[in-house]
Amino acid sequence: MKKIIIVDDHPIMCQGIKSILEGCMDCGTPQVYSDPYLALERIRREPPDIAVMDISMGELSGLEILKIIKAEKISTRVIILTMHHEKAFFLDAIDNDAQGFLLKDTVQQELVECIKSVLNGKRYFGKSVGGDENAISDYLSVLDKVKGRFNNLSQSEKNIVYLIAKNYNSKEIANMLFISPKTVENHRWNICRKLDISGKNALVKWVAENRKWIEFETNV
Amino acid sequence: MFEEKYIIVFFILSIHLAAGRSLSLYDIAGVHEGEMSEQVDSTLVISLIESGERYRQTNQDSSIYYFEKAIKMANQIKSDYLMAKAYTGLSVCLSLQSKYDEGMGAARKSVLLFKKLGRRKDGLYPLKTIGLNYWQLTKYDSALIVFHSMLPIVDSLGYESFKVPLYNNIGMVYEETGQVDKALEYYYKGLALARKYDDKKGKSLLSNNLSIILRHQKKFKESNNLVRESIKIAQEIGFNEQWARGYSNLGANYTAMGDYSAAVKALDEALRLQRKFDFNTIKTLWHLGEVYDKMGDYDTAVRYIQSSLEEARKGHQREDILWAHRKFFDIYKHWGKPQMAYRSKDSIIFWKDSLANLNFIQAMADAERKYQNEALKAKLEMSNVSLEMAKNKRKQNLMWFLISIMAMMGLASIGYYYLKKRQFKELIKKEEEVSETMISQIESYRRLIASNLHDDLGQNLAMLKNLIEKDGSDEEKVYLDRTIKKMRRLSRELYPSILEVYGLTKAVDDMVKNLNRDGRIFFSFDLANLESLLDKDRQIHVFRIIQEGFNNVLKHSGATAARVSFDGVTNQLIIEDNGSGFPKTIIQKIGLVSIKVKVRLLKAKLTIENTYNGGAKIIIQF
Repeated sequence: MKKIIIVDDHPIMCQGIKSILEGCMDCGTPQVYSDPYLALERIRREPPDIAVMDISMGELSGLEILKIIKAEKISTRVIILTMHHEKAFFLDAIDNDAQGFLLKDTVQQELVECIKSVLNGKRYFGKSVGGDENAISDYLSVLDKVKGRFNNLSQSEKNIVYLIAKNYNSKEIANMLFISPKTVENHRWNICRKLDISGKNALVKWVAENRKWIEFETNV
Repeated sequence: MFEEKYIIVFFILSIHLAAGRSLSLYDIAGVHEGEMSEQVDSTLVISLIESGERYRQTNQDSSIYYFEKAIKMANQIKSDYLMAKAYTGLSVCLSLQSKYDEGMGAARKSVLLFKKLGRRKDGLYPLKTIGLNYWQLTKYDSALIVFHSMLPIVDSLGYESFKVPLYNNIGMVYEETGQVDKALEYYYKGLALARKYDDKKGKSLLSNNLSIILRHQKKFKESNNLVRESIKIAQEIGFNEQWARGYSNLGANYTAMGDYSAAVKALDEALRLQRKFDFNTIKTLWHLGEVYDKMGDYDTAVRYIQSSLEEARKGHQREDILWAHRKFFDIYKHWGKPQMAYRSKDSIIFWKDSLANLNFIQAMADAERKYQNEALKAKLEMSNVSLEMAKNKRKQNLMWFLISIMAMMGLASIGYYYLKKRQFKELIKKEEEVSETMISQIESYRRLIASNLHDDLGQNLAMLKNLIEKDGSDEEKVYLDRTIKKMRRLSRELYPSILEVYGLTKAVDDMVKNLNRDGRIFFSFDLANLESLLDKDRQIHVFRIIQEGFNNVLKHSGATAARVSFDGVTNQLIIEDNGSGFPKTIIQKIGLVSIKVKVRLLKAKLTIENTYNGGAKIIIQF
């Protein structure tokens, strides 16, 4: 039998999640922790198969527990279940190997499917988070390859890449960013160096190849 | 164990019956796994107490958590002994966090429980905590009464070795109240006992305390010997705290003797140990700075104070930051660098203000009192003037009287003018102070409301949405969806949760992405290293300034692009757009009131101008 725990400090939510999971699949009655410290101790002492966790829980957040689980290489797979719909939380969670991410207002429809999917070793993200499924899987597939390099760029350089992806030329970009066209050219040269690409139109090509990923980054 | 199992099964049965559900076989089989989310037995309570003790030095918050849980569970299984143990632990933790009154409450409960159980020896520890808390609260008489009342208990139990820490504590209280002779008496008594029972920890503590008194009595040689002995023992038994403290004490001795190079050596050793064991180094750094200051090596002195400042910043210890700036001021004064001293003075004033912000209510009360005093003083002056006038009237003839009246009136009107002018200036200054503290307060209220809205009300709404998913009408679903969206927007506008969790840069990133969704104006940002220069309290003000600047762009500018950028070299934050610029009235400093207030709060300077091609530009000079 698979062991599932729920970590959430909001009593009504806990009750709701429990009643959704009860009687479906062979996961028994999930154990509920309203105290993140006790949950962390349990996860360390006797790792469950799946932990369904909230983010905001007072002093110890679900994302912090997720990071501890990753750092200590604990086998528990984590599904984040939250009210936060901002993308920054979602990206932080999937960068730290969260296997699932759901918003609380759609938990009824999606939680069971999500748990099944994660138990089968497949990640699952709620339909209302982070755009459509393809965009997320594209993002994840190139994540390690592109992201490290892309994150080396300064914010100004990133702005230029976003604008190239929107098909603006250097002069237009200069106007939009309040800098001279020459500065834009300088930036473009630096971007190519940091992304380790060279040749005529190399940057435009790179942007075209990674357009989906860049759009995913820039959208809310 | 057998009995407990029955109780649990009965408990589950009753829950199921109450819920009106039938009982399946699984429910009985699953007794160990589910339902009883926090299965209680004494081993769990013991492990909780152990966890609490493990975290006591490193993370008191979680330690308190564990103890409180343990108390609750001990109550459930009706184990007074474990409950008393947990209360003892809790009281020590609370005292470590300077919550002396609460700590005392917990210790009292523990004492009562141990008394009920007849375990007087166990009860000694919480009693000691009570005494120490009285001491911390500067209620020295009560502390002495507690400690002295413990002596006969210790005697009757024949537990003489417990007297070592007890004598030490009594000595400490006497020392604090200035009764040095009595303090010495108890310290010597304690030391003798510690030697008798070979209580190494006690020996090291007592000789340390003795040495401090001897230093004040200028008996440096004896004092040095004692410190050295204390250090040696502390090192031997791995009593790291005392090991480090001993060296800083030795440093103080040498400083008092005027042997600065030896003092530096000892203090360096103390610093090394504090760093090694991750103790607070701020005081030692100050001390080193002072010694170098006395030696005339101002450069090194400044460097040490600088690193103490960094330490204090890391821990957001405002009082310590303020002290570091005070030390800077002293050093620069000795050094003959008045300009630098003035700059430190500015910092001192700034941090004083910042501390004052923290004590908002206190500051308000003080201002009120001051105001009333001034009013009273003015009233008194007025009555003095009229009294004088009455005297004159009687004594002088009419002529003199008229002249004097005219002179008085002239003087009074001049005086009145200056008084009014001063009052007006003070009023404006007070207004500014109050508006600054008000804004800080408003931000913290906004944060509170936003998190309540989002984390509590929001979750209830989300759960409601899940409940009506199956059989709610479409209309109901649409309304609920709208409500949830509205709640999210409201919460974000009140206080962005991203700012709280990830800081300024990510929060501005999110804001810019949201603004760009509309597509009419292209917003961009590059804040470079601004976030690392500001603490969380100040980040929200910068965030609000950017938010308001961009809102102005949206509403009034007619621009197609806008940008916020920070230049780490000139320390300028610039918000600019390519629209039609500010109208003249705004440049003449009528508009942008709320930005102005926040800029003043950040102790920065605001400039508003139009760019060469007509767009609006807000410059904030940090």
